[in-house]
Amino acid sequence: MVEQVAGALDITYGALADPTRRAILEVLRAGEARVTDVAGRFPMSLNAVSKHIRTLERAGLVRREVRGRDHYLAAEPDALGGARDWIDHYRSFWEDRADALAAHLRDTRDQGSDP
Amino acid sequence: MTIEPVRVERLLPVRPETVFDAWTNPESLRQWMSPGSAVVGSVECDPRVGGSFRIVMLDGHGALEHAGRYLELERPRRLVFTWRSPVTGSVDTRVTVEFAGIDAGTLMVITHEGLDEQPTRDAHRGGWASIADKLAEAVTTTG
Repeated sequence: MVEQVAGALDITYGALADPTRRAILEVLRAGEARVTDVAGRFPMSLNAVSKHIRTLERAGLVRREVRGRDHYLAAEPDALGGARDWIDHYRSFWEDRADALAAHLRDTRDQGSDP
Repeated sequence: MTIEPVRVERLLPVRPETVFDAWTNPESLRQWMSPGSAVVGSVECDPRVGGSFRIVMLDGHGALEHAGRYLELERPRRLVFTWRSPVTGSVDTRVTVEFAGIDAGTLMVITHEGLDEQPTRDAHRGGWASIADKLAEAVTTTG
């Protein structure tokens, strides 16, 4: 359970750590938009943008709705934030890193590195 | 609006020197500095005042660079460095790590400041904060 939850935090951190993905969320701040309209704003292939969108979906930050032939994207309300974004990013980031450091120290101590 | 810096504490059952060294040794950093879903691609660090570090993490899309400069190194008590990442963009934030020797080992305190200097955004509270809070809580209670 701990590993699953820690993994989910990492997925969200990874999703938001990319400028293109943050820009996609900014576009969706104004409201839902068609995938093709979102993609048209970026100087990269539709395929490349789609990959970014899938990462945001996996992280639960955007949701997709199919209406007829169009795919619409909307940011999840929790994904749009104010000044607390970086703070919450890094609280989670350092909590995870501290856990990883503790595990690393335990492993190296068990190997006899710390007298 | 005043925003408190991020502060994370851990009690570690080893000496302060050991913990301090884990923060400044490239091979150690490679082991513990990457978020679980990413892999550390490369670590460079020059642990002296004015020296820099660069940690590149690889996820499914490419490289995420984390870099900064060491401001203070007082082994084993204190380490201070600037921190830039894809999240902070061109803004330098500041991380202070203190290592206090106690009977049980070391109390490590990480303080991350400058995170309120992000570009202006809409003011409404929320964000994925609530997701992260719930998940962080679950991690703590099951850990």
